[in-house]
Amino acid sequence: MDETSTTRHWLDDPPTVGAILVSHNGATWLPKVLASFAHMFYAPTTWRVVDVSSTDGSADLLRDSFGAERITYAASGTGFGEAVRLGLESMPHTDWIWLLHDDSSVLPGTLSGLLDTATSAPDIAAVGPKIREWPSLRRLLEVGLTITATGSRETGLETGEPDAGQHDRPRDVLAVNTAGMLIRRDVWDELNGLDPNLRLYFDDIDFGWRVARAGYRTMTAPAAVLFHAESSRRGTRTRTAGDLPHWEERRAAIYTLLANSPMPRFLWQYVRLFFGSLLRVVGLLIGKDPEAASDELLALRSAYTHPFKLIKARRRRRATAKRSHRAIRHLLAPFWLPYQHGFDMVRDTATALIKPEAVESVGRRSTTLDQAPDETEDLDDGPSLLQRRPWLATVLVLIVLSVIAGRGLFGGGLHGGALLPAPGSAGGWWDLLLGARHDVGLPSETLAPVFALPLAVLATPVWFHPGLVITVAMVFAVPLAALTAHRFGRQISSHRVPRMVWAVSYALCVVATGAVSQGRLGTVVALVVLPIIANTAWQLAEKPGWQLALRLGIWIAFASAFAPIVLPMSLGGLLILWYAEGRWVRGQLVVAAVVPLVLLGPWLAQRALRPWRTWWEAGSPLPGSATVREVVLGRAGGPGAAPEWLTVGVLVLALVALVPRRTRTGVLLSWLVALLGQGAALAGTLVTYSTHAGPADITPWVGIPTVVWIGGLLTAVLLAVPAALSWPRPALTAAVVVALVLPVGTLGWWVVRGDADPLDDGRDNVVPVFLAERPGDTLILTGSIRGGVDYRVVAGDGPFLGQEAVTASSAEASRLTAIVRRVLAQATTADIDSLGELGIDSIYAPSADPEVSRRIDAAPRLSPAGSDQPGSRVWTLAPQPTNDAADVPWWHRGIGVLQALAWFVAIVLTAPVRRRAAPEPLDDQEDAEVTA
Amino acid sequence: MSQRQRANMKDLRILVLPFAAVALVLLALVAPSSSESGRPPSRVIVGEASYACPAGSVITVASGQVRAGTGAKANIFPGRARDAELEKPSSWRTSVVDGSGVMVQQAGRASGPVGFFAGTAPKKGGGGLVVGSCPGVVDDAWLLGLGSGGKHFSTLILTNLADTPAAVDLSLWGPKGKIDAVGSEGIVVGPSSVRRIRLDELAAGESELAMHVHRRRGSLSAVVNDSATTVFSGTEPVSATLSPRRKQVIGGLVQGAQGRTLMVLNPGADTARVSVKVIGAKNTFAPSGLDQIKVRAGATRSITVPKSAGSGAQALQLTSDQPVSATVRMAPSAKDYAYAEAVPALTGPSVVPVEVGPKIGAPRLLLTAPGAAATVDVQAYDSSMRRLAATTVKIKAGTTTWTRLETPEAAYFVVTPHGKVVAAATYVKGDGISSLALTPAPVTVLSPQVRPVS
Repeated sequence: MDETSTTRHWLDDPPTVGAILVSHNGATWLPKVLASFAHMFYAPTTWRVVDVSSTDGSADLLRDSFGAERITYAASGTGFGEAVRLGLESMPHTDWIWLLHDDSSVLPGTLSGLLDTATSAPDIAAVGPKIREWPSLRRLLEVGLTITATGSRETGLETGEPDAGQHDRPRDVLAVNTAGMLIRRDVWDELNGLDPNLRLYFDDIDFGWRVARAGYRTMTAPAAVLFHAESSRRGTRTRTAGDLPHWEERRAAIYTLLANSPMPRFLWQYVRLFFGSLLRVVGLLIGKDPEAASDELLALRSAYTHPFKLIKARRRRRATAKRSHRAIRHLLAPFWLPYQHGFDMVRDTATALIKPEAVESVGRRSTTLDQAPDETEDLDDGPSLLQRRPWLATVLVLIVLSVIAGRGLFGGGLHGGALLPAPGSAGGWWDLLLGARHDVGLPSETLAPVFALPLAVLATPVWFHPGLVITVAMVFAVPLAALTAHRFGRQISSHRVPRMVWAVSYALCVVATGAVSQGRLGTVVALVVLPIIANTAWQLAEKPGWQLALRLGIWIAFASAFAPIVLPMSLGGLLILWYAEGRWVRGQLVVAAVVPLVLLGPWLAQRALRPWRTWWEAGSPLPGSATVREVVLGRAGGPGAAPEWLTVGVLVLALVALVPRRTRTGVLLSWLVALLGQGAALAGTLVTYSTHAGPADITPWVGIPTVVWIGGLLTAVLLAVPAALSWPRPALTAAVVVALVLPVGTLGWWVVRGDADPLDDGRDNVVPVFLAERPGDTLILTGSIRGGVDYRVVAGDGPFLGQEAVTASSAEASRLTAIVRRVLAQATTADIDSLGELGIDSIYAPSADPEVSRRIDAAPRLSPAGSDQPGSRVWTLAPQPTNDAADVPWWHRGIGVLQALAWFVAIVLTAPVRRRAAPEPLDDQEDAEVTA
Repeated sequence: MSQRQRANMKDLRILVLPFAAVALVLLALVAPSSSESGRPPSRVIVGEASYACPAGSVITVASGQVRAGTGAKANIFPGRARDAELEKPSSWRTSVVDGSGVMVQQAGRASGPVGFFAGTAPKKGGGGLVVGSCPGVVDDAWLLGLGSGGKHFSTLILTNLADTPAAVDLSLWGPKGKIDAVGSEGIVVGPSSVRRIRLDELAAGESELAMHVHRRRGSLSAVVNDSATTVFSGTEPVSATLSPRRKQVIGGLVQGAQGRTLMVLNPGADTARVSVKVIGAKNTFAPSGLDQIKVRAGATRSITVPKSAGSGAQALQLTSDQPVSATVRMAPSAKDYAYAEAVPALTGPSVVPVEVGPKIGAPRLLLTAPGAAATVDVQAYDSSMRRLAATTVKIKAGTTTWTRLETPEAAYFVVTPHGKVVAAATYVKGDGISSLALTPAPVTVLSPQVRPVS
């Protein structure tokens, strides 16, 4: 700015300005700070320096610069406000007071810039400069201050926001920093200066708040620039006896809020801050910041154990207040700001978990978001998005195609095939995990499935529409799988286009198996997560560490919760990793193998008691029907599977990929993984499993191992790309054409067929509506006398996703089986009464076998009722049901809580430990800029 | 080996993985896979059973069981008054019930409760001896030998055993074909009540009728009371014969070649050709005149059993190319007649009542072994269920034998088969005659395999 050209009306009658520099062990910065005072366009009328027991030679520097007569020495432990007060006592009266820190340097026009704004209106009492970071000099630190309702100091700036003139308009603010603050002397005296109870922190905000209540204005003067090292906040100042403890900052925040809040609000704030601080302690402990948690506790104790100090402070403020709090409310931070901070913190943690390669666990900042090269690499010579960001464009296309393929499935009520509908609210899943009673028909001994926990967490933000979580997972399975696969692909291949084709091919394999159409949520989730598992394992092999191992274990547990078959397959994968990497990762692999066992806990034991039961994924144990040929060609049988021939090309290319020697190591590893999948899938075609006291002789669905088989082969092909690039052009062209058959063909088939059938949207008519409204449960009978009868008991309108795993206890199931047999043989009154005792008050035969119907007709105490489906029959029981909901054993809830806690702790442990900032050395280069 | 050769050998090793994949596929193809086994019905023990008996001032109702039960309730219809006499589950008991019917509900694991009724019909109704078993819940009942004419008429007695309404459909056939009876479908029987339907209300003027009772809803039993004052006269309860099938045995034909009439119903759409063999005292033979009897589709036919069939106690074995139902009417004298129905071979102990009304003589037990030789254990019990005597009767393969069940103080006999045996008991009182086809007491019952699903 050209200072000389500025017209300054105040120069006609120049105001007197008394500058007070407070110093305490500031020798590091003082030489540059003092030098900056020498070239001001408008210098203060008088100077006063207060040295607070410096031990680093600061006093000598000050004496040399200002002379001994301008220095006041304060005792150790003197606060900033008190130091200013001491300085004022020995300084002549001036119109304005200019407060300066020993770690803040000024520009020549700083004071004149401040005076420009300060003299622009008579009610302006305090003005603050635009404060930039020292040593970076470019980043903004503050252009005015305010405070949130939780006591957070708010600048309104983004972290590291550079100064590009975006805040260069003077504006009213609640407060300005004491570093460079210009205050009217009369107002200072009227308000009795800074509060002595705020010795270092929040004294500026408190003062600004009081200024505002007293009817004056505080403004920013962006034309005035000041560089601030924030040595106290960053801990770069040499600490001596009498310095304030770290928790003082938080105490000051609480004190400031409680001292200045108006009365009705004060009571609420008093309670809120107390419990809020306790919550913060928990949060900080979870965020692995124990020092900050300790500070919070100490601050809380200090603030709340001195009520009389608070009463006096409030009385003083009441005496000077002339404006209502409502009149200055706009100067305070909006109410939602603390929640945004909370969201940012959760987002950072999630980012750290999902993108392991993006995490750097050193320094004060826990995570740094990696700017993905593919996403950020702008090609200036091409205008289209496809050229500039090809992967982003691909994902967008996949999302659009997903919407087309998912036509008719966006009502939020997905069900069909193996998929059960979502509960009425997210509370259903929480209740399943932690509730005392399960409304699932019969009493149960089985634990709630672990996958209900992530579903509950994910559905909580959309509490009344938990089906949205399922819809997103199922309908957008392809883009989700493509995203995770591509992220892994970036680790293993540097060839962008083959990598993208590979990721899309893998993602399409998910729908090609029929997993989406058949409502196999477990398969979909597991296949979306599998690339993350592979990615984390890859990271582990590259940089072994226990946090990565823990993260790998968590992801294995997550996928296994939805599809337990992932667990043995992952253990097989870990063995392959051990074979490839040897003893370097042995310890970490043990951690990765043990963590899922802990996180899945007793539920896993229930499943693992019969090993084949690990094939039972989330949802109904709908049998699979894969043949050996289908498995080899990447299909798992059943409706919604893509044509098998689409995969033939991959098999051929995978064989060819074995030929080049230079890429053979990776290709062999991929083949090993593929064989692991193929072996598991083929084994699945040979066995059957039975659920706990439920359906029996179920042929497993082998979607996951089948995709692992094809995915492994696809990876082998991708890894062989570098060698293939040297092939003759015709051979390379042929290989490319063959490689494109799978993604292009499957994409076309997928979009044309869509995701629906048997997957459906809307109400799942398990029982007629009028039966769902009845107080008791419904016994549903299917089958025939000759071929056997199957039964199930449903509560209300049927089970929601997760309840299918809470099967009846063996005793109750055996009892009901015997009763149903007797009812279908020669029913007696006692049999029907027994049904009532089990909470059943109606019988429903959806496709009634005439003989079955006739036998039920012959039962006493049953009344035939109308049904809403042709060919179905309904009977209602005369006896009232006595036991509608099933009691959960007391220890189930304990295990549910412990399991949730275990997941929580594990996730927290993967977050990097936060430590108090270490002193940051000054950058000589940037220091030079100040001097200049 | 040169370095190049070694490298080539190393290259060949990569084939291990594809070969392993192929080997896994072959292994999966040859390995035995699990397959779901069939789930045929199996027997379950009966814990409670109900039956309904027609009642009246001239009818005695008897209740008993194979093993002592744990409790019994006897409700008289209408009104549901209790009959304390019939509520003793550990004894043989009789009662003359003042009502239109009585329902006995007896509990007890495998107790096999059974009920019978007996009496002498008044002369204006044809007179004659009546002995019948009280049926339980019926699904389908095929009844032959009925009539709706002035001198031969039948009354269907439907008893609703439950406290919810029941409904039946009736189908009627005559010698000329199926009868389009008005109001024969959806006949409702009120909860816990008895409904009597004279067949002439449905199809008047038919001297020979066959009827199919099909329970549509609810829990009810069916029995027919048949009376005649024509060539044959008397009264007889008609029990259900076997549903139409290609092979069946009609046991319990009493001595006397006179007045035996074989009645056959062919409800199908094709003419049936029925061959009849006689399972006599010494062997099984085909009598002349009973070979390739044609029964028109959807019609009944009555054939007089010729003298070539012999006059001894015997059974008829029917073989047909179309499913048919059959019953034999026996009228050895003009004073009374009886029906012998086709019943399945005994699969468990069966009860033969003795103490079932005054002055009924000791019954004859007619036993037929249509296949291999068989034996039956016959045990006599008094009314307090004390065993009085026991004997074993041997039946040669393909023969019919009989024995008189005569033990002093005996209230009932329990007949336990060993082998395939068709059994009937015949009662004689003066000129009166009655036949009771024996069916197993409800100790066990076939039930479908049941399993939970999710």
